[in-house]
Amino acid sequence: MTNKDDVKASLQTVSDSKKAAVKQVKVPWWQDVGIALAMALLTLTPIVQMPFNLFLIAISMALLGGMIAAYTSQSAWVDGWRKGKTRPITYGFAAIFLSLIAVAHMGYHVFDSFLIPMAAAVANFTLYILFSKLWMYVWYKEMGIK
Amino acid sequence: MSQLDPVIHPPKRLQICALLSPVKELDFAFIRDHLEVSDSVLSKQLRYLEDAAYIIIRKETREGGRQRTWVSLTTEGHNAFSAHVSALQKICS
Repeated sequence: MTNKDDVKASLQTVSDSKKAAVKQVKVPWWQDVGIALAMALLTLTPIVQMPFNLFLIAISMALLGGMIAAYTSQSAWVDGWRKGKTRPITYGFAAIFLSLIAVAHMGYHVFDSFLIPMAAAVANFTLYILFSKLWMYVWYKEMGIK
Repeated sequence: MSQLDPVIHPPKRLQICALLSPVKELDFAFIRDHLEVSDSVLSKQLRYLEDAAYIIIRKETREGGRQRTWVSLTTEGHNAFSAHVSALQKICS
């Protein structure tokens, strides 16, 4: 392959194929809501007494597992922890998510407040929805689609 | 020119690697339909890539006994594909 036109055509094929694979990855709204709900339920575990908090964790994990199973059963899927421009977003969200669980724990056990854990759960729910949208936007941009 | 990878170089295999590069896993059926080839032709092309340790093929048996085949690029595959594309870009520039 020495002809520049052939090489250009190959590069165009590479670009088109990448875009075709990216477009196959779909995240329906209910998957975002399901995962966000699991995040919110996990945030609320500090305010639930033993052994009911274990029950809440089991429900959250089952919900999370179900959503991930549905997502990974489509014809193409991408790993949220992939290398690239999206990785800082994933780590950032994970850090905020864990921090909000800590805030919920402190709010309930140190400040004796129900409101703080509830607010943290709502924040984790909302932040996950925003995180998912931002992640897909950055990924699409990185793949040259937007 | 020397950096062009002979395993990835053939058009169908280049397309397969390009399809696999942005995602974690891809369904065999999607690749076959995108390339507009038969199952056997795709299997043959995938075998070349698998022998070079550029891809992993995973078979999954679903409810009802139906089998689904997943294909993904390995780290070596990602590196080789990136190097190949860089070599193509160098030729163009």
